[in-house]
Amino acid sequence: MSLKDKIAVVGVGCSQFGENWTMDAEDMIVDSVFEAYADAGIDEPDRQIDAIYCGSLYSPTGPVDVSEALKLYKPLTAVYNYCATGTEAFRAGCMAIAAGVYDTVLVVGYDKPKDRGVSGPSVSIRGVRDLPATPAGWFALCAAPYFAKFGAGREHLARIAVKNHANGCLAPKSFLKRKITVEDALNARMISWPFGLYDCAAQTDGAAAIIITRADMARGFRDNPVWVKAVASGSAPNPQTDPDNDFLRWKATENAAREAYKMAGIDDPFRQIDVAQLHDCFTLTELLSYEDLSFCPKGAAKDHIESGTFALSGELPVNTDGGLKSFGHPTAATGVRMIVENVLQLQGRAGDRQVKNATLALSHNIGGFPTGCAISILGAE
Amino acid sequence: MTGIATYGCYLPLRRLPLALLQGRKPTEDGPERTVAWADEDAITMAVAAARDCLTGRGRDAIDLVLFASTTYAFAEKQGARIVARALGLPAAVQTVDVAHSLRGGTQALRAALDAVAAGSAREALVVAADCRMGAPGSEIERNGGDAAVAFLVAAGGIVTLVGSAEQGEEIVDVWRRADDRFVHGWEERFRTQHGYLEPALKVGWSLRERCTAAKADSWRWAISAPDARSHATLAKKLGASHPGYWGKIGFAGAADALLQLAGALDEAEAGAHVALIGGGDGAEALLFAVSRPSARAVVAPWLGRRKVIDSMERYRRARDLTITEYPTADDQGISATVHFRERDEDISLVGQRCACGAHQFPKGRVCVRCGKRDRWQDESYAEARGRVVTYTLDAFFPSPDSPVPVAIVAVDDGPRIHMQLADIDAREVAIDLPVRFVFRRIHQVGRRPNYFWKAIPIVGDRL
Repeated sequence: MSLKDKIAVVGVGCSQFGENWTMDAEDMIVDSVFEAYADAGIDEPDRQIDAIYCGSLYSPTGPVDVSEALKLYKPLTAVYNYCATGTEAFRAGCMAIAAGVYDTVLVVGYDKPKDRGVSGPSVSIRGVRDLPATPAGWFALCAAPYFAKFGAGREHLARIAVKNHANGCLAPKSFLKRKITVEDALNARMISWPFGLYDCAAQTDGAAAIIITRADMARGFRDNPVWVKAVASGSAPNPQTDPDNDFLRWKATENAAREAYKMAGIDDPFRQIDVAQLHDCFTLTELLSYEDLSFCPKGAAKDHIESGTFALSGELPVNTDGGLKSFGHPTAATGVRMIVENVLQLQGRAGDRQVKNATLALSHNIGGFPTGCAISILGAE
Repeated sequence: MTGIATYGCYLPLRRLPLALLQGRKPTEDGPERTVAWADEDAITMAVAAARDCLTGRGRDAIDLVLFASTTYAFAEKQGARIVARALGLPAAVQTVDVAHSLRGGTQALRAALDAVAAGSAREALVVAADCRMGAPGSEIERNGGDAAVAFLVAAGGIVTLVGSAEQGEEIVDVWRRADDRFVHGWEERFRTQHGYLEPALKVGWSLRERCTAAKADSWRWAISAPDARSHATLAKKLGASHPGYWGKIGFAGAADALLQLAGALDEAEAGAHVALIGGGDGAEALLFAVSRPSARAVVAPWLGRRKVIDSMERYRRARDLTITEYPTADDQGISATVHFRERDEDISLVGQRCACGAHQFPKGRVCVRCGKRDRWQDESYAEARGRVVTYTLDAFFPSPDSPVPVAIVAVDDGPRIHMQLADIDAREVAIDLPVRFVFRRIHQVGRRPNYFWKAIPIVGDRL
């Protein structure tokens, strides 16, 4: 069943992203959800919200964080799909509404990794073989074959970091508000070749929230609801041991994109989509996603990077709020934060980073090794 | 007749110039010692030596594995069993550790010869390995070396034991207590004279007297000595001797005597006799008759495969000699039940092949190619070769040689395996690089050695 035009987003909220040393998960959940309540004109959540869909990767206590913070007595579902968790929580909420189970749903993504005392993601050690890898190490594995085949290099990755740092400066709630140069990026300390420090997303604390409702009820909340055109998910077995993987793409994104475009009725994504939030956990992930999402042919990303296609002033602006790189990456909040940004863009509320006349917006998460991808497409009409 | 059928050895790639230890500038051809690197220990070196010994030879007749070492990581938990598992030997193989003595190598060899002669084992594999750790700045650190050696004993060997002499001694000359990291020694002249030279000379003369049937001009001595000067003193008194490996390997603990034997056998002609002297808690002498020379030189190729350590900092990090504020977390480490279920993959590099032909590593239930369930056969990839599909250089993984190359390796006619590369400069890593597989320490989580396989570049035909 297609989800197209059956659900609308009527309220969005986002906490400050960053190293929130003085905030609990509770503070960030409350900040983002009450902003979303206000945005949707909800003043009686106990009456107006039917259910909660949430996700967190780092919470030591789990879903009770949300019901406890909001003091809500509502059905609650926690979703987990690595870095795609936020979009997956949104997808689960949309499906519940489309199935007719609930009318109005609260979606919350949050994470508080900065209470662990370490920089970067934790590496959980299950078996002996699990250890010699970090997310940077997994996502870097496409670099050598891709560079060899298409002639791209570290400088193309650097330009993506430069772009996202510049965009982040324009988003009030972003973590990093500092412009960098290509030289800064190329000269930073190495993390996992070809990734230097600036090729890696900033892991931060943060929470984001969305209120979704039945399409026919949307105008009861606001005059300019944003319509869900598609939400899709794709998973794949571990690409590291996939005997057919060419390490020029992430198949999970290709699979999810195929389903999302079919649901939304999109046949020329580059022309039809006006603004996109892509999962730039690493700069190379954003580069591959341009192609895996068919914004351009395989191998052509570097030409578009050089010509500025995906810059804020380009033909298809990508990561208008700075992305994971600069806005910050509280893992499970990220997918929800992207939807918040797309809603603001579609409603003309994105301030200095506003893309003109945006009517169709895409957001994309990919996570795991990477093994899971989720995509949302929203429309103003 | 029962004897040595084949033998092999392993020397770690890294060499430490002794000048560096003494704070001087190393010279091109100056003396050096072998150093087991951060991912190596007595077990990994033993596995490597055993594989060298068994190259091109079936393993089905091996009924007994003896592992000799003074530097094995566990006080309780057998090392020979890990070695046997890494070699893919079946559970029915008998495994024995010979510990606590610098003469462990020779003792294990004699036990193996006895077992095969008595008919209780068809073939017996003897592996001796040691990482010689002297306190930083000590003479024992400078004299020491890290090495492993392996001998396969079988009926119809090319080298047979024809005589022996034993002189046990209760003496506190060199020792390492259960909780010590470094070998200690009493005053040098005392331990040289009473701990080594007196018993070694005694067994040497005694062997001469006992083995008069072996013509005197066919004898060549292979002397294991704790230092170069003792070696020279003994050689002068006994006669024609193999020069040993001073300035190249160093004294390799429980593996040293069998390493000297391997070196002497490499050069022995048919009809020659090799007289081996090993010391430790006394001494023993063994006379071997060579009926056929070795088909290949065993020690020399390993001597030629070397990489010089260029900084003390790197050496200290590899040996865990640096002081850090925070010691390694003593957590539970890898789940013992997970380890138990994953022994095939982790210790034996065994994956599986589906009836449809697709290979898979690690093992699973459903085939990645055909989607069918449980149509698997075990496949070992330890002796296979492969090539690098893609790689990254991980600057986060703790290592004396950061960044650590991590690759997807496609096994020839096999699966893809995600694994670290070892013994390679990060600049040499490339797509399509040919590699083979070595058994290494992957990390020390839980303050236990955790073993898995790594890929190393192929150098020449064998190494």
